[in-house]
Amino acid sequence: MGKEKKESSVLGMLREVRDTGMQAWAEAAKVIASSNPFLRLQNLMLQPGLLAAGMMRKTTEAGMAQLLGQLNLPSRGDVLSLSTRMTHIEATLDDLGAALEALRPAAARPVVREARPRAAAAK
Amino acid sequence: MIREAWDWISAAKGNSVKIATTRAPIAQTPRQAIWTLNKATLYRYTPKLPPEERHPVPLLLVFALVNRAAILDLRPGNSFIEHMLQKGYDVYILDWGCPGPEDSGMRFEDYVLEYLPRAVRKLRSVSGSETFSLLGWCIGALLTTLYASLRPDGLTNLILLTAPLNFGDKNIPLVRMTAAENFDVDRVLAVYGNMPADFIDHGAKMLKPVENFLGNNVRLMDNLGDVRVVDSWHAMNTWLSDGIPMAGATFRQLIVDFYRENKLIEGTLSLRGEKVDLANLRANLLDVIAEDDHITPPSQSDTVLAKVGSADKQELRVPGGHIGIMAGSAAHKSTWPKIDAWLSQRSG
Repeated sequence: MGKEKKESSVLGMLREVRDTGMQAWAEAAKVIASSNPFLRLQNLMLQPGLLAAGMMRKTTEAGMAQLLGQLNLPSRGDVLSLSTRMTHIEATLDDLGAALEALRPAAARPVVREARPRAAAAK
Repeated sequence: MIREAWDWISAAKGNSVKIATTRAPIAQTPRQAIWTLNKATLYRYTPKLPPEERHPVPLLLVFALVNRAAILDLRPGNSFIEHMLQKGYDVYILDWGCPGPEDSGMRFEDYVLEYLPRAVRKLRSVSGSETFSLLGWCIGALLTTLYASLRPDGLTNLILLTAPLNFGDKNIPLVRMTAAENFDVDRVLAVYGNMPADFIDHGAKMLKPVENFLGNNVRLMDNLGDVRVVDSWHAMNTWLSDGIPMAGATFRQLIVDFYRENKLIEGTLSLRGEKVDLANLRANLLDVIAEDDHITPPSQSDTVLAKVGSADKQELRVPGGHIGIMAGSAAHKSTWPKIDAWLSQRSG
């Protein structure tokens, strides 16, 4: 029992040392990562990658649009605009559904017609 | 020491295999989809109490646009939704879904003036109640604040959790990170269309790099033999690693109109020509602030109380971080009962 406790305390001590070190490291990293020089550097480092990815995307899209056009197939732009139109239709159907739902209680009520006098009806 | 290490290895073996090879089962509370529009879905959770024991005012939950709403229903025994159902609420959740390339043009206007009003209309029709309560978390709180200011009819209670509303303090790390000189939002969106989930996740993690990239894993290693801790970590990690991109135009608006120009608090924000005036927000308001929140520091939320037109407004400060106050192991003792205590008095 005593031996186990001793072992635990050795491990505990090691963990304490590790945690203290990590805490100090975390505080320093937090300050550095949110400093303006670091953020600017990070932004700068991102630029070449974004530029290359953007150029590649533009080139691929232009090539694909041309190819799809030649094959008489819808382009990415066509599909995207179709999707937007579908969403608009979906929204309109939703409004119609809600309007019908609002009318339903009125429609379910039995219509009571006033009886007309016979003489008037004969005329 | 060797024996201790051996015990730890044998206990940890099964747990580490589980973590590495499976996704934790999350969001298991029974629910039913009652409305959809594009990627958005409105769910109604199966009530736990009979109608006569339930609060008559239904509760609609609105989560952020950057992660899945499953965090509100993480796992049985640690689920805010399950807790509220047990307390007799009729609970609904609006899940925004995952935007695709076709949604890159979606803006705050679409969420606030197209999706939310329609979801609320359906909620009213299904619940049969004209009045309702709204709970928004993070960007969901920003959306609900905008909605409550523009369409206040029927909204009785509004609960804001860690709401990023005031961006006046330019020394807040996330505000600095998104400043024009440090982040070229247009270039990123020109390449990707939508803001990739990995970018958002990386940005959030960089606010506390050592804790997020290393500390969490070290803590897991320390407790790898403890099933309770491992299951909790597994569920949280499953949720965290399932981020969703943010619609490009919405993200640009968030960075430029809110983070950089602070238009909401400055009173210069308009959505589709309608001026957003916080004084029009008249619902009973509970503003829940996480004291140790590094994503939405308290100063971004606490000024809203002075701006709104609500007669009944209250601030609730809870110890914990951005996610921890609602999904941490102490949430069921510290945050949820306080929200229930406030809401139950105002839910009929």
